[in-house]
Amino acid sequence: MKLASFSIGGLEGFGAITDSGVIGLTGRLSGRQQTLREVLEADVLDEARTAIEGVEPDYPVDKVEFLLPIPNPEKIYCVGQNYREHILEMGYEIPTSPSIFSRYARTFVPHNGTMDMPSHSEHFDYEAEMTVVIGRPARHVSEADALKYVAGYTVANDGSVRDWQARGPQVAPGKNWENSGMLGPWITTADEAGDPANMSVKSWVNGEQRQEGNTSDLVFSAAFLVSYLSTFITLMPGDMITTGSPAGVAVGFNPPKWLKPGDKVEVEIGGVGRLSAKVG
Amino acid sequence: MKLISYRHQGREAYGVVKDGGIVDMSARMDHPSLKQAIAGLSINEMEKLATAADPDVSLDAIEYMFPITTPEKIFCIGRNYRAYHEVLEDGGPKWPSIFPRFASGFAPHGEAILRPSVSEQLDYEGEIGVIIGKPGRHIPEENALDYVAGYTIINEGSVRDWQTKGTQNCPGKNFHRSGGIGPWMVTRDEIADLDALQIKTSVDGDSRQDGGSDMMIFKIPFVISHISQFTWLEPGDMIATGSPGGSAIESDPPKWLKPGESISINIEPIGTLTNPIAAE
Repeated sequence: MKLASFSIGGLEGFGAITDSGVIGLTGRLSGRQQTLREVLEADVLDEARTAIEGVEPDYPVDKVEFLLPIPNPEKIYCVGQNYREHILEMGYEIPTSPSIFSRYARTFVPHNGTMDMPSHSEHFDYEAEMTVVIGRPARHVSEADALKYVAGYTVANDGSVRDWQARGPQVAPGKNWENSGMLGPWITTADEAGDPANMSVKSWVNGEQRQEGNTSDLVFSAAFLVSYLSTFITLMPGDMITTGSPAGVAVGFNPPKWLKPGDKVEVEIGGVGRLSAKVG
Repeated sequence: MKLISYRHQGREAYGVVKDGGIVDMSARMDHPSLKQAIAGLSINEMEKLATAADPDVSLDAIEYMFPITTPEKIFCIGRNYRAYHEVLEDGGPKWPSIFPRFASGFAPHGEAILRPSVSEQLDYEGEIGVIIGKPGRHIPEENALDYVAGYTIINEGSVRDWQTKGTQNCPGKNFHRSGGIGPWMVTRDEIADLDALQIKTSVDGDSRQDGGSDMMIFKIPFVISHISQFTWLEPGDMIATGSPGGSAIESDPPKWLKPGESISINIEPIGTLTNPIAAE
């Protein structure tokens, strides 16, 4: 099942995305949930699955305006330098602990949205990332149990402003530019998405392929990251973890292929979805 | 004027601190929270209402909440104080160290800060907390204080061994309830000189930090301006502005916080933030 948050006719809500269109679910489940985060909090994905069985879509997909899959998540954690091949290619050592930082939701635009070209920088880069969406509160969970706490997966561009990332010892300034990343288009539930340790990760800029990797190359797997983060914080339903990006980012080219206004960025995670946005 | 968010007899409220009690503003205004009252530019109105009224409830009868119960963003500045007479290498850092935290990493005044089960290295950092009053982006340094609603006290608690496991400090800065915020905020007009504040931290009465804000490397107007270059600052957003010397890690052996201890951070004219330490 693919679940998305969207607005239609000025009203914000959520529903299921099917091959034939969108089935609106806002307020239609027994708990009258108004947001996808409330659905995850109530742990009623099975009810949603039953509710859409044999139901005709309410509207075509191109009639809805996508929002972030969870428009108001409590937390978004990101992982840097997590693809083995890319780390070795850059001449770094394979890390023994993951590089973790956080972003606020407002730094991402939804599917079909427009990213803001940074006002004070030309070093605007993309990072295609498989993204975990938490379904149940998770604290001190083992790696073996970790995926039981995952509702599903989505697609991210962990868009980065490289020169600001290097201003100071922490990357936050370069990773928290307003509308500098992408998230969506939907959450593909774990039962449908397949093995998070074997998903293809690809990106394109204006149709030219830039990245091609597979989550099998992750140094720190989705299951490890859920377990690791839960050591220090309670991961809550709707929280997201972007799991790092393979080789092929703009800064890796000589000269760097920075994003420019008008560019179209697409990111695809196999079994999850394809996310697209422009640079404004 | 001191503004507070609190819970009384199970009800969430906010008000003005006066004569050892609180004049309940949530009963007198339409804004559902202090964040919205500030965003609605209602500080002057609250002052008028509080002047004309007697306290509705005693400070002894309430549970403290974060002054802003649900801040969207909390940016923290690291390594931002010089020691007295210290000459910084190469004139000091060119850029501040900036990292975000989420509210779940803090406890309100009076509630326990949790010493993690996985680490003994729980440390404290007494800091001036800036609370933003109106939305701003690309704020010039000269006008930056116009965007401030007031100030609070932040214990930017840190778990030192987890701060250095990866390249980013995030894990050690995001432990569940590892810091404190409160007890309330004072409005901007209460502080005439931001360079004349004294940050005093004590643990069970033993003085640990006693530093003047004149030793701040990146001053508050610069920090506000700098952050607003990459993101909108919104009413209720907070900035923890860095801590003077005297953290636990600086002692030999380090004086880590232990369950059963009580930590107090005093910054006049704001007040004193006190939290007991408990085992997770």
